Amino acid sequence: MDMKQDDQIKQWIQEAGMEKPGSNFADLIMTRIEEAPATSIVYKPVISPLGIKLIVGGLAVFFVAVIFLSSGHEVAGTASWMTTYNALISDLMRLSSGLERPSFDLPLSGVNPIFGYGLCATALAFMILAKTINGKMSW
Amino acid sequence: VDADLVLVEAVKKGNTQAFRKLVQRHQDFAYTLAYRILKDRQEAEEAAQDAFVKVFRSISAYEGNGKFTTWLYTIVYRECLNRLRKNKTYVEDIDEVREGSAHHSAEDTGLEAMEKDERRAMIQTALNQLNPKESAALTLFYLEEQSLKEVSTVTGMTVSNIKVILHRGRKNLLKVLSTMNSEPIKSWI
Repeated sequence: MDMKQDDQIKQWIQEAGMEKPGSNFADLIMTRIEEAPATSIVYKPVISPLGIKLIVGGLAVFFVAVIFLSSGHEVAGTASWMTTYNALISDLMRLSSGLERPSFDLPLSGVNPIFGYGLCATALAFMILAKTINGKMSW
Repeated sequence: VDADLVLVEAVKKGNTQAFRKLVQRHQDFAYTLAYRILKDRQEAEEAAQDAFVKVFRSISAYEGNGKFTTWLYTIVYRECLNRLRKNKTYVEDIDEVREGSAHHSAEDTGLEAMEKDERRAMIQTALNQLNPKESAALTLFYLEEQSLKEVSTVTGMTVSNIKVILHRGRKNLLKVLSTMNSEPIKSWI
């Protein structure tokens, strides 16, 4: 195809021009946009940054409390499942000699249950208070 | 300063009326492109509107690295192809030329009566007989005067492919025009 013919086609297509949409084309688009603004693709985290901080903070307080307040000794009624576990392991070891007893030495909580409940309640109250202060927070 | 970019920035800041201006600036070509692909006015209008709504919803993704129109036409083109695929009317064979009213649309039009408007209508009819990809490529390249690279970006095809499609599009356009019983058209060809 020579340049002359190419130019001719360009001229024809430009002569044909553009099609015109309906007179309310833009209005219909604007109506659709204004009707459904909530569906806009904007990144919004499920948990707000403050919420994440509070959760991380709460978890940190919990683990720090468990680690620093644990005495390493069993407190009556707080770790009965540990006693059951150790007894079970001892029985198994007696049955199968030659196997080494596995070590399970997690720190035991030395916190009085009532003190523990109080600690949890305080943390919960702190989170509710923070939520009240920051009304935008989503959980 | 690129006027489109200024309007896009205003839209990003929450000015929806700036988006209306963007629509008004580009609605004719967006609709023309959609119509050339879909060959149906009602569906072309819906497709172009859907494309503009998508543009609005994802405008934060547009960073101004390329021309706004290239981005817009890409969305229009994809929207139209998706509609064709859903309707299963998409013709993959790019050599195929639709049979239509071209044979008789200019049948009774004599040389003397051939006015510019009639010629325009004839070209539009011929463009509508073409395969959607050819029609879109010819429209983008000749009407909107986009570069081969821009047409390639819009259609998602390589520049080499675009060259082939343009070549076949021109050939098929001439073929359709040659079937029209019009001496002036024949003389142009």
